[in-house]
Amino acid sequence: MTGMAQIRIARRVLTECIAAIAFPILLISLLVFPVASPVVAETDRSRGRWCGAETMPLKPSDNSWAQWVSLRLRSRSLWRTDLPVLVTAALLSALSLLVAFFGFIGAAVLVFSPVFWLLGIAAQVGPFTPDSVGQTFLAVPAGVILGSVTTAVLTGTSFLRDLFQRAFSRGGDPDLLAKLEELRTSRASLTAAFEFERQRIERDLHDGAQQELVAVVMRLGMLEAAATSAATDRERVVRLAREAQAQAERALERLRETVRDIHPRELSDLGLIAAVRELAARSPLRVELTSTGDDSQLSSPTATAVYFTVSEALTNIAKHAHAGVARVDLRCTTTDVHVRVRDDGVGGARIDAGSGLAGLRERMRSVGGNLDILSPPGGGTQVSASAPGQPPW
Amino acid sequence: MRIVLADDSVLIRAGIREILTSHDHDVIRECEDADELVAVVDELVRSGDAPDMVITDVRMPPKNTDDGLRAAIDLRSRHRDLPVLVLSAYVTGPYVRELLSGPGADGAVGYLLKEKVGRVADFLRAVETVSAGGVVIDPEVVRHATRADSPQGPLARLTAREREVLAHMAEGRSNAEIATELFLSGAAVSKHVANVFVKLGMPPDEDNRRVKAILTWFAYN
Repeated sequence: MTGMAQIRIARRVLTECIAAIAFPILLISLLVFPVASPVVAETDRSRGRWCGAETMPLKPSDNSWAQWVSLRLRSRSLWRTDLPVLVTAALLSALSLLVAFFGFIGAAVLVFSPVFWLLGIAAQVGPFTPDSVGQTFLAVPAGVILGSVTTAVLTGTSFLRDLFQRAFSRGGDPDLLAKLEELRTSRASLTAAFEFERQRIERDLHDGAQQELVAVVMRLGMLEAAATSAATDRERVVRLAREAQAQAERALERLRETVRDIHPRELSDLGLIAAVRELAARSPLRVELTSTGDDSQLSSPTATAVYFTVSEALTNIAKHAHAGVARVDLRCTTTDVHVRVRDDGVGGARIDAGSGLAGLRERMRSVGGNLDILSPPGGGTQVSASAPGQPPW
Repeated sequence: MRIVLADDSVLIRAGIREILTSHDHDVIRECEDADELVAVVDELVRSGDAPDMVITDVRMPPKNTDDGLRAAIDLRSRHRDLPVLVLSAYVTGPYVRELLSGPGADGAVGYLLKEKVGRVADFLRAVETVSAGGVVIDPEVVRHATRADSPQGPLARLTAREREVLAHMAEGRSNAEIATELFLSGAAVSKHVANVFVKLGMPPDEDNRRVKAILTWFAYN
């Protein structure tokens, strides 16, 4: 048996003993079961985990017990899982109490039977009473066996708890499953959006600042070669120096653009509406912006997702739509944010996998929102996105 | 030397071309993507006008991943004597290993970080070394790939000093340069180099021992 397995068995026996002692508390718990059962069931899940069973405490670590219990009270899981767990916990604790009490005390008395005999006591266990010193020595192995059997039964009881725990959790309630599915999807979206974003930044740096800097270094190399060669005229040296300087400035400019695209300063400083206004002002297009509401209630990831949606949409219009004017409608309410970017261009846009818009849709979904486009050929393009002000998780 | 140059950035192409042409090399063709590079070289070879060397970027259209490296490996496998110098923005061992272990001539291949073109003298020497059948790996890539702690395979037979000498050989250094850099006498470097060859199982009559030793170094690093 490996060390870990031994430790787990020891933990099972220990937790059974604690459960046995806690039997009176569990009995009282039954009277206040609505509040007690989530707590007991959660404790039992923690116990299972500690003992190596395949179970998982459900309470989020940043929830207080009061918060979590009140949430659990409104869920069907209270009746389906927690209450049955409480009842079986109480019943099994009664069993453990009986087994541990009689088993361990009996075992101890038997093992120490010779000692008791010396003290002049004929220690009785059940129907057995020693009537000679020889019999007391026979009692010692019997005590060891009784102790082992007690340990085995307690371990078995502990496994029985796992079994019930699993049986009552099986299937789960539909609400929870739906929520789980939603979370799974949004987590996948988030990972995809994150990955997409990192690739975009890598590409921007590689094609932008890095490229320019390589050119600067080359130009400086030429400058050095020219300056150290006796045959070069001054004019060439000056020209190369100026070119290198101009190129370094372009590299800085590209770097600034990349940094801005990672996270625009004004978004965190001034909020979504001001940042979108700035975006509209910087766009090469004529942008008609209408914004309503208060953006102070938006979570930062939500505001960022909306900002980049507008940014990407405007970039696309400038690049592909052949449109003269773009309209941006931004509405912030206390609970949601909606944005619509329209143009009167050629239309026919689609959300292709791997495109900027696909990445943004993932990003909007990662904050609990969504993004759609409407782009009939010849009929202009409309990108609409909306999201709750706070992500629902 | 007649060189085919491939890079998708006009800016970079212009820079490299200027450096090459001002040092008596000819850039006979310029290519913007990997497919074009392969087509141009094939066409030149077919018409009996094979270039003396190809210099190519790694990341290029059409796929914008490692297309340039693929093209280099492809060209080396089909035109066995064609020297290829790969310029890259990435310090990655796997790229170099693939380039060196790909089919083709042993040697006449190089992998430099793109900005090293700015070290004009070093760059031109790398061009010469590769075109003469040598191997030049960017020192930064060599450093990145060096696993001083746990030498593998035949490299385990070398002393730390011999491995150091070999790493310098991979950077395309001559014995004299290695002597200067490691503060050793020329005779000492020659002895280390000879030991490297013997320990890596390269008999004195074998051609291109230097290149083969470098390939071994990369294969096991």
